[in-house]
Amino acid sequence: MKLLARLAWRSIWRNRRRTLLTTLAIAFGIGLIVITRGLQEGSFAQMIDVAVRRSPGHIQVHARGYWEKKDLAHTFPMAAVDTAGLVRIPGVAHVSPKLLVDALVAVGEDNSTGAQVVGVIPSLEQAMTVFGDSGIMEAGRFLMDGDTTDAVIGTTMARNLHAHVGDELVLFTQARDGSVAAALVRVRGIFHVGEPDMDGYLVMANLALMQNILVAPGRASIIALTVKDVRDVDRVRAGIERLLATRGGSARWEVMTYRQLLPELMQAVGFKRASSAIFLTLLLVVIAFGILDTILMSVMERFHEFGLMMALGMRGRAIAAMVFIEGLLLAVIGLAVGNAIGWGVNAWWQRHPVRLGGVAEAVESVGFQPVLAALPDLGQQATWSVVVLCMTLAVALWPAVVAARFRPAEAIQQA
Amino acid sequence: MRAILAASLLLAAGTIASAAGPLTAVDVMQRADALMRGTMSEGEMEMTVVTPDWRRTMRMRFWEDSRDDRMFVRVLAPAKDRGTASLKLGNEMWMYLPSIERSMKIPPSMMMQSWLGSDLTNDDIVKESSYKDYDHTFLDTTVIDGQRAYVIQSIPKPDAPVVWGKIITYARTSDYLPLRQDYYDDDGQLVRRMTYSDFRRMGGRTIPATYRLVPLTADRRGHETTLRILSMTFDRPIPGDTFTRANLERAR
Repeated sequence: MKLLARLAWRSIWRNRRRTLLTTLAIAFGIGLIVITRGLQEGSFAQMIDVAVRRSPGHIQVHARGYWEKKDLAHTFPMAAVDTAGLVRIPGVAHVSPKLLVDALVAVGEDNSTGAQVVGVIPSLEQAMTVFGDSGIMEAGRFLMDGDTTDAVIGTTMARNLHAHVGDELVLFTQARDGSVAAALVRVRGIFHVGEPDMDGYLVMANLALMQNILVAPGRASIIALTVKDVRDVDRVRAGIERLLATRGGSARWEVMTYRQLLPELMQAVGFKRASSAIFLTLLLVVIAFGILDTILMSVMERFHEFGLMMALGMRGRAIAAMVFIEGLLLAVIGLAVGNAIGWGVNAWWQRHPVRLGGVAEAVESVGFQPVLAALPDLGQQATWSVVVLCMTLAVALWPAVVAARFRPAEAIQQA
Repeated sequence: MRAILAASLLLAAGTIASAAGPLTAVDVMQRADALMRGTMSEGEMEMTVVTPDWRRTMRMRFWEDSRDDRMFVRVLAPAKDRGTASLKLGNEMWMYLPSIERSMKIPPSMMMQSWLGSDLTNDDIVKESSYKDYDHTFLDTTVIDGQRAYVIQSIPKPDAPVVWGKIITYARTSDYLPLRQDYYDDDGQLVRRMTYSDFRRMGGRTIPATYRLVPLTADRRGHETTLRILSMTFDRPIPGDTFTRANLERAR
């Protein structure tokens, strides 16, 4: 085997130009895949980041059943979750507990509309979401932790209700015990997120105020978390589940990641991933024929050599193995080069995002950042490398078999 | 109250006119409706709402003027909700919230939401549901809880502003008082059932004093609302300023 490997290594360097071309084809293939996927994952990461920062977070902890019912019956005492423990889980960036309820809101006696009122701890919510961005408030300001009789609403709702900063806003809903819940708050600010559901339907108030009027002291509907690196989300989720294991475990809690929290977005991303996988596979097939060609050619050119080896007692199987190993070596070199370049480009592109020119405004208006940035992902690279490797080996199979079938006498004569 | 009381009271009123004997389903509904016009009623009721998570009973006083399509309801108990009021003028509805001393209009988009936490919707309270919105057919007679009953099918007319796909009413053959109403949605799915019981004389008329509404959709399993009429009078004049927005804020 060692001998075969050495022979194969020598063989591939006998025709440097061919080897160079083959490895380049492989390197080009894997490099293109890595860069394409990196860019795509970069844009997905951006989309997800924008969506996540609009409020849901990367991970949410709920009482079991909340996600299906979304009602006050499925709130939980915040003391039951070790909130301080959540913050300490490695990889967690921010934690924000919230209490959500559907309500009627009104300005004056005759302007009213349905709304989702979210009770938050303003400083935590701002640290985690888009509400911490400067420029998010169109008028007034966001809540502060001490603002217990205030609320912020979206631009569309403000327009519909003819509400202005400083106006009195009535919140009316049903408390956790079924009683009538009402609160009178002051519009402290008007935000514009660019998401119609939020600008037209969302009201934010202080968590303590909402707990009070909903007869839900110390309770929350969800604890939202963000992670420092989106690729760690499953590890962090596992950490949270470990923390909750001693507090009722999965019978009592549901821990969801943005993949479950943002199903439509994830579906769109999944569709794009699948279609790009198909496209890249087709690209690989084209490259595969190129590789097949060069390896097959190299075998055909070496009739004489193989014939001689066989005449000297080498078995057909060993010849086949040698050709196969040549393919493997070419693949490994090509993959190494392609991965290195691909990773380098992605890493550079991640640090130096390209600003979009003409379409920037259109992209920005729907709430996305008008930049192209890649996301290097070694896992992706490994997966595609295995695909390319298998493909190269599969392609080398035919030339190997051809080489093994030579009859020594004929082969020598032919040359 | 229309949706609840109307159906039954309409039919209840029908008894008086039934001397000529029951004719068709439409006749029954029509006579009842004619008699219902101009009715003023006033009374006290108790509403018990049961959900899988809590159970609450509210006592309230109500005034209704069905001729002008007006209604006023004031919560008397429990103490936390006391003073909460609901005013309906035609197709509009206001709520008064005593804890913050403010009243607000219920927007059209919230009409299908719960009325005072019950399984009734605001729409049930506000909708002027008339027998004219439906085509009625007499289907059968049957026996319910040991009482003979007509089975009447009501299908909304094409342009009727009605949320149901079909209503099946079981009305006693003896006096046309309803025993049960099954509400179907547009897909023909049975979505809620109202049962009437505890028939007794009140304010000079025989009425069912207990109404039990059970939603039958999966998402509201374990919910039910029961209304019990504690007392009721008919055709006594009601002060005109009862049905005003100013009255909402008049603490009681």
